[in-house]
Amino acid sequence: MLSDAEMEHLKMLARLELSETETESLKGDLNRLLAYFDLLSELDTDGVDELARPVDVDSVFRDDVVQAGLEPHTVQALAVETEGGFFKVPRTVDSGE
Amino acid sequence: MSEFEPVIGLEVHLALSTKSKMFCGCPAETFGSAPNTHTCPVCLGLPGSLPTINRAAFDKALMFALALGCSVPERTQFHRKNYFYPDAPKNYQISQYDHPVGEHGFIELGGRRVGVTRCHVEEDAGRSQHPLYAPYSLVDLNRAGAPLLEMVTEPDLRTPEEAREFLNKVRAIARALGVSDANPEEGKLRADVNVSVRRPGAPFGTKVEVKNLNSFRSVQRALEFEIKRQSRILADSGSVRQDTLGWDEGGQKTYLMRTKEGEADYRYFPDPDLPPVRIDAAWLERLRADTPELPDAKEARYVGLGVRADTAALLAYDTELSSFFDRTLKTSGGNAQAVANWLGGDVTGYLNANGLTLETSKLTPEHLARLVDLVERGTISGKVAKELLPDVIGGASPEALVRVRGLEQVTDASALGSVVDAVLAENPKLVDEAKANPKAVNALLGRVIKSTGGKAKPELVRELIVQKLG
Amino acid sequence: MREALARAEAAEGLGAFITLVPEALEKARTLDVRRAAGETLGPLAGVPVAVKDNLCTAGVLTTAGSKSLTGFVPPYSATVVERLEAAGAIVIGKTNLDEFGMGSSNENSAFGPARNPHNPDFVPGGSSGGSAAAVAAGITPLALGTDTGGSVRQPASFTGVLGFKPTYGALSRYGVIAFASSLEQVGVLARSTRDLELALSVMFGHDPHDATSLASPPDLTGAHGDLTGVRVGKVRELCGDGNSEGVLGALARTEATLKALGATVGEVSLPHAPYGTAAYYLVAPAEASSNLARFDGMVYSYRSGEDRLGQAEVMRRSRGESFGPEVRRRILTGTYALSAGYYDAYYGKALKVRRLIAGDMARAFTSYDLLLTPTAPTAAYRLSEKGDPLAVYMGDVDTVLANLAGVPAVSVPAGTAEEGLPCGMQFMAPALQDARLLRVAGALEAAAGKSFAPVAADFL
Repeated sequence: MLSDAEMEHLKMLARLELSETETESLKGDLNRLLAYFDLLSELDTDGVDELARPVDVDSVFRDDVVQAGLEPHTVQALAVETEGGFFKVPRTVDSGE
Repeated sequence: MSEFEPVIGLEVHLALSTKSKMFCGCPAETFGSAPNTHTCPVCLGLPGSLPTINRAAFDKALMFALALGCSVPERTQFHRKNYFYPDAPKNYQISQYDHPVGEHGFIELGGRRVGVTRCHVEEDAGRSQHPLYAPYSLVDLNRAGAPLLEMVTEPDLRTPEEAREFLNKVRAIARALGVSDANPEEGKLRADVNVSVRRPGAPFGTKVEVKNLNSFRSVQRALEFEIKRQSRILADSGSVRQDTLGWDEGGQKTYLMRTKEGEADYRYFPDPDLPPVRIDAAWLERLRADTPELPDAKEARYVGLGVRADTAALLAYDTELSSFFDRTLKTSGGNAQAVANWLGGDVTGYLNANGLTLETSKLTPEHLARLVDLVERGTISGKVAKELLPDVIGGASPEALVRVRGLEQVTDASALGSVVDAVLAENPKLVDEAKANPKAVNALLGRVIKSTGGKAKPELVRELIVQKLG
Repeated sequence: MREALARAEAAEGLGAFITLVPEALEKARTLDVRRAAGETLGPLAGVPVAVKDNLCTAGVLTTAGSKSLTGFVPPYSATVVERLEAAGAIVIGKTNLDEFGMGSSNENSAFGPARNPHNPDFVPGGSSGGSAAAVAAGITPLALGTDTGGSVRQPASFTGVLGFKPTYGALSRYGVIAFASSLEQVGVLARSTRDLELALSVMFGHDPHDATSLASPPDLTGAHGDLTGVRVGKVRELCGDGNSEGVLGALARTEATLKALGATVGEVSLPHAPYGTAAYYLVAPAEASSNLARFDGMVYSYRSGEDRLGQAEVMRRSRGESFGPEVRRRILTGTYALSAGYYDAYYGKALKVRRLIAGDMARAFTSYDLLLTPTAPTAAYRLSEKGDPLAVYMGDVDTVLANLAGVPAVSVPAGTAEEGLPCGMQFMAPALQDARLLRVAGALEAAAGKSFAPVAADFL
């Protein structure tokens, strides 16, 4: 079952900030759900392949042709905050992956 | 510090030279454009948008993988790599996990094989700027979704020079194949390095990753710095921490970006929006048939034609030079080595000194071929040809120049003979020196050539002088 | 058109719509002019339709029932909406839904619950509760919903209308705000099979924007005809005492009608059916946790006001503040199911069980043309009655199977159950045999006559 540390880790992975009561409540929910999911371990799935996509289609491509996108002003209008055409976002510390 | 041996691996991202992005129809090339002017719902990650695979990007990636001798799977698919990052508008990157387009390839370097673990296709992220002292960052998603090929090497490289050489080869191959312009200056080739040190024979040490390297030279410098830094730590019986470092070009040193403790859990799963791709033998055959000659093969071919090894390498690894060389050989009868020397030597020298390239100059393969030919046939001397070179590069026909300026080399032995006699008579002191020391013949040679306005055939003059000196 | 809009406004207490589109009147007038001028108009010309608010509509607010998108006006429309409009249909409003499609009662909306037009103290079902209410209340004859685990069929059952989920890939998902990409399809709610078929035929067809859309759509010839010799298999695991008395009664009546119409009704086992809900509630949240990651307050989604805190903090707060409890539950569940060390036991396992379920169905379809189950084990329940999420999930036991396997399914009104509330019966067909479902629905509709899907007019 989920420990407090695991719950904090999940919140971090999912980028969700929650109050203590919310966290407690969700942890309870998750633990009950995880207990329910144990049902699946009754089934022997050795040698069974995962079915990730229900319909058997493959090799769908798009031709390498430039297509019209969105007008710049339309894009600007979508954003919460912009500056000089850029999307303005709160400061990020990390330079990323 | 030579008690420690470096172990180096590279992770290279090549921007594929397609017209459109990896998963949408926006232009792949947006370098220098105003921010957020080449986007659509898909590359912006708007709700409801869906990706579609660019066939040409796949073709280029496969061609590259094949050229590196990779094994290619029969079935490949895309996975989602989940992480939150402002440059990644969906907060996941569509990439590949299992069954990448190529595995277990290699590139030859100095007679050794450097292993290529895998090659896969993925989409690029946008770019962030972080204005100094400001509490905000600025995001441009023009580049988001551009097609990338990622290649990861085995930790087979052993020196910073090797790493740089390796990257040069990658660039040459990518350009020869036409899959990427591979210019680090334009961000078309990005390299991260993994480096550790160890005592020879010992197991691999802890490696660090260095990112943010903007040129091949930075790669080399950063490696040199890290090797020193890590060697010092180990020599002091310390231990190296598995960090991610950045390279500070101004300060010429590495700096800590983040420690590995916060290791990301990417939660890879197959992307349900994209069906898998079946790669059959027919497709691979078509690609092989369309694959241009690789630099290694060119090099071998040139050597086979009699070109000296270093000149052959110089030409083979430069896409423009090798193409020009091949076209020149077609029109010229003659001496591949001579053409190679001219192209790799004086022509390149002149172009570089004058800020020109083969494309921006007016030099044609035919004109170069004929210039070389004129020298080979003895019509003009090499010296005269060098003087004509700037004009030929400017577009002038060598024959026309020779005719108009009356530059034909004098090869008439009797005519030259009288000039030689005259010079010998005028320079008794030099004659005595020459009789004593054969090298001093050059001074006499120079005078004769000068008095013929440079047109005398040097070899003939030398013969005559030596004859007449007795 | 005017009537439709007026009824929609009058029905505000139903909570069926989040946004109404007054421009619809103008569009209707334009069509009238063109018709008067003798122009041939599309097959759906002038028909008012309601569209679930997780389908993008260009220029019209699209919220997905979430605080996260309270300001989002898409610059493009979903392909299915474009096709309906190209056929002359007019979107009069965006319907209420469980947030991001996550829920089975339409109580999880940031804009208040939707209510069942047959009795407003009861839920209309979910997540396409608003669309079902709009059709059941006679506001529009057609509505679009999305069906990820039953979200079109179950509300159809609860409100006494038709609810159709096509073969996976038959309808484009481009422009559908993604919840669980490998499970969901746009679905249609209607009160007549003729309207249903018309809408489907207009929207079917490959979409180059959606790589998962079928190259050729299901063939709809064979959507009409009697049921002589049609073999219907009742799914043993789902037709027993897990259902309420009222539902079992409706099932028995349906079985009798089918036999009277010439069909043979047998019993078939789908041995892994009891595991479907668990598999679904692992696969769907996992995909959702990835699909909803883009709502981070950075570009177009809700941003919490404290941006001097740095980006990571703002992201966490924005998401924490803008997602409702069910969405949070599923994001965390899904993140867990995919996380390092747990993938094999949870997400990977669920995908394997999915293949077993699909296998069961394929086997069943070798002996039967159609499979029959109740659409849900009960009729509608009261608002706020079901506090336990797991209890709500269990209500999806019948419907998740079709999403897991990618096969088409329809809920057909089958009279009433407890409290006089409607309930529906579900038919499933093999992939691409959508026409069979229209056929059985049509036959049952003809047999039921006027009482098939009556408008719930007294809902105020």
